[in-house]
Amino acid sequence: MTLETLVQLARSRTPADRSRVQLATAALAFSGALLLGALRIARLGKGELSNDVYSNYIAESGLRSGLIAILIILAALTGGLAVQALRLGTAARERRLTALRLAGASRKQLRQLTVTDAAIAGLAGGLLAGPAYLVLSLLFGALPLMARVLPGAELLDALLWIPVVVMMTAAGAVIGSVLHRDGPVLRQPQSVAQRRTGIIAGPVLIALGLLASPYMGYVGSTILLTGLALFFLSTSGVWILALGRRLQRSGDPANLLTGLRLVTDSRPASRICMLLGCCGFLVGTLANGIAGVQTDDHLGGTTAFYTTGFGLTIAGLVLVALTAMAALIVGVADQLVDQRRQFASLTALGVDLPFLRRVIRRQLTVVAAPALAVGLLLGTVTGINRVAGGAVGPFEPGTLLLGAILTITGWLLGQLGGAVAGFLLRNQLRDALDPENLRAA
Amino acid sequence: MATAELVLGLLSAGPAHGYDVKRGHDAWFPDSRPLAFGQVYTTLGRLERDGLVEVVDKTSGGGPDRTVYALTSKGRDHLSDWLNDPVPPAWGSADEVLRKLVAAIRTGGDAAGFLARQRASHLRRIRELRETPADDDPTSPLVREYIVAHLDADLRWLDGALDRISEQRGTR
Amino acid sequence: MNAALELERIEYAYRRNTALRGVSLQLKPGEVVAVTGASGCGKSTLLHCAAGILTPDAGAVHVDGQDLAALPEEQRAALRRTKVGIVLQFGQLVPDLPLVDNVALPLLLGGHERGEAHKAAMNWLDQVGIADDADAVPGELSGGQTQRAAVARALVTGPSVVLADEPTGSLDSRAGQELLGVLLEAARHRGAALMMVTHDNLVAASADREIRLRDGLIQHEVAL
Repeated sequence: MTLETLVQLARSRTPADRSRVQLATAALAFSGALLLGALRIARLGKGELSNDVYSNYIAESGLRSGLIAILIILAALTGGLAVQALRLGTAARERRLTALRLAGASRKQLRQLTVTDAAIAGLAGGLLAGPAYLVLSLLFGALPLMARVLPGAELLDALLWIPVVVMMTAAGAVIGSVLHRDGPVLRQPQSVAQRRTGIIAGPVLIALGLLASPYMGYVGSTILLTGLALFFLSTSGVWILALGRRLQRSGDPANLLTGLRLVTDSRPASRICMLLGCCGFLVGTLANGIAGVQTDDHLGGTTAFYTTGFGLTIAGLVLVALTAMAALIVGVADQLVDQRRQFASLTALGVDLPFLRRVIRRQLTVVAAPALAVGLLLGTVTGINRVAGGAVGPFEPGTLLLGAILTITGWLLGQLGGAVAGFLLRNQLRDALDPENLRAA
Repeated sequence: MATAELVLGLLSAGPAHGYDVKRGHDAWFPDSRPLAFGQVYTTLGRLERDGLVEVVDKTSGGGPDRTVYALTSKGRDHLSDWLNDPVPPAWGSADEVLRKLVAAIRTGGDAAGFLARQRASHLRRIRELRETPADDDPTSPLVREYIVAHLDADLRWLDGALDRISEQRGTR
Repeated sequence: MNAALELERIEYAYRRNTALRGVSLQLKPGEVVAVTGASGCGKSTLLHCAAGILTPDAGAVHVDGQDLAALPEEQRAALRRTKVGIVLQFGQLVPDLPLVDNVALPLLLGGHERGEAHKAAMNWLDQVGIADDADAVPGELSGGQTQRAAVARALVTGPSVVLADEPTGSLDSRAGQELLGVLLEAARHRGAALMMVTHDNLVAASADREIRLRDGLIQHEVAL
């Protein structure tokens, strides 16, 4: 295959594929911009700087390294969004790959095509990262001094932009390579063995972390968090299936259909569950931290300092959660396009738009609401100090109250998200129900 | 008409009276017009003349209905030749195919083999008709299409018959 | 003379049921064979095994004397691309590529230059009578036109064997007859052996030989 052919075939021209790549490109551009920001701050060196010129977060050398770490973590999170974006439209993409295979492509060539597709998105993202960084630094420059966590761009950034472009391209290629599956994909998101490892290793790590955290600081808390994540990752598929089965036994046709959709394809639901659970957990720990600062009078520094820190982080998290939600809504839209024949045949059975909206809303909320609520509860109860490895006493009653409030809020937000998704997807739903879909294959 | 060969088939199980032959025919083709006595005796007479059947018993003072006929070896050969040959696909050939199939199954012949050869014969005929170049004649393409459509219908029935026979053989 | 395609005692089982229980057949160069049988008799599975889409559980597939299983994956793909053309009922064209690119695909994947590949593709599009639609994508065309493109693509590399699975299955009888004519003419033009899996007697009638499958075995084989 010549390079020209490779590039031509890698870039699918269907509208669904284009929006998928655009989303991934945008995510990688943002990720690259954050990396450029981290590099910019790292170049300031190790010494203390003046509080009158820079924000405290940059000026104090101890905080500076933390800020760099946060920027890198945010870059990684945004990279995760790119992964989600590239996973969209799986069914349609698999059909395209099958068609290419029928035309005589070898497995290696198919892999090359997938990797090239993602690498091109990475390259475009890297190229956009420069301007994106410039815009971000200008925006932050307009904020009050304390909030200026990105120093202004300089000429040297242009030079560092080149390695970032290379890195983003490589990141794209790696994502493409990891996502690519040889041969037909089995409808099984995780193997039984994998799940069993998680179910056993998860609680073991949680117990180990809980026991070790008073002595070993944040090594212990890291173990605990890893255990929690592992446990949730491995069980999310299980309880989504259980939930689906229970709904299937319901007498309400909307519940029945929802359950059926969850059982037949639990992959998107389990992705929603993980993402929202993580976001909820992080927001919970931060909320706990804010509550701690509000009640504690003995802390040094100004309140503005803390509020800025927490505010920026929460803003970042909300951004991540919103983008994740958007990506998931695109995913459901994708599913709707893919299954439009089945939906259209439902029209013949008297299914109308409000009913289908109810099904889609239920499908999203039945997973999103508990995931968000559980994430928030665990986050709040665990608290930022434990995550950071501080020696913290047993749970305070105040924390539990806050936890309860946040859990209810999370539940309500999950419901709201489902309703909003139903509203945003109303046109796609109407198209999916169109009897016209029954005509052509 | 293949009444003669059918009569040979009916006698292949063993010697019989003309009356038994008539009864046998009507049992093989319950949905068709019954065979007339007159036709049975004319046919048996002709077959005897050609040496395909012989008279093995004649009750004293009896008329034709008292005579018992049996297959000669020549008659047996003639029957098996007939069963082996597919029917030339033409108008009205379906009746003949049906007669042969029933006779083959009833006399324990190779019905599946016959059906396979018949399929091939039909398919060949369709191809011939297809390959005949269209001329300016306004009606012959219409006639050809008619024949092809009917051959196709026969073929679909032959398909089903093949499957049914294989199933019966499989369950036995 | 070597057989263009030789299948030796092919066996294949899906998870729940056995589709093929030892089917052998040979196709001479230029020969046209129809594989018929009721739904579920294993005829499509046989074609998929011959095409290398499925790997048989037992038995061997030889294309132009080459044992498919003996080749490493990369060479096997190359052999399939150059020696075997496939025409399915529908859904084998890449939906976002114009016809000319779709037809040129096997050549492009084989490393040919775009200009050269397009020239060969245009030649075949002309041969099957849809040169005017070269720039259209499959979704914009009728079933008959996309099937013609599939025939062009199956033959663009000059294969020894063309495998067609219900090639006229998605078409009405008139369009089906036209496509069949195009397919036979194209295979004859190239001198390729043609194996057609079909339940349509009018398609089977155009073959030199009928092989009928039942329950994963050859029920009968007759010359036409």
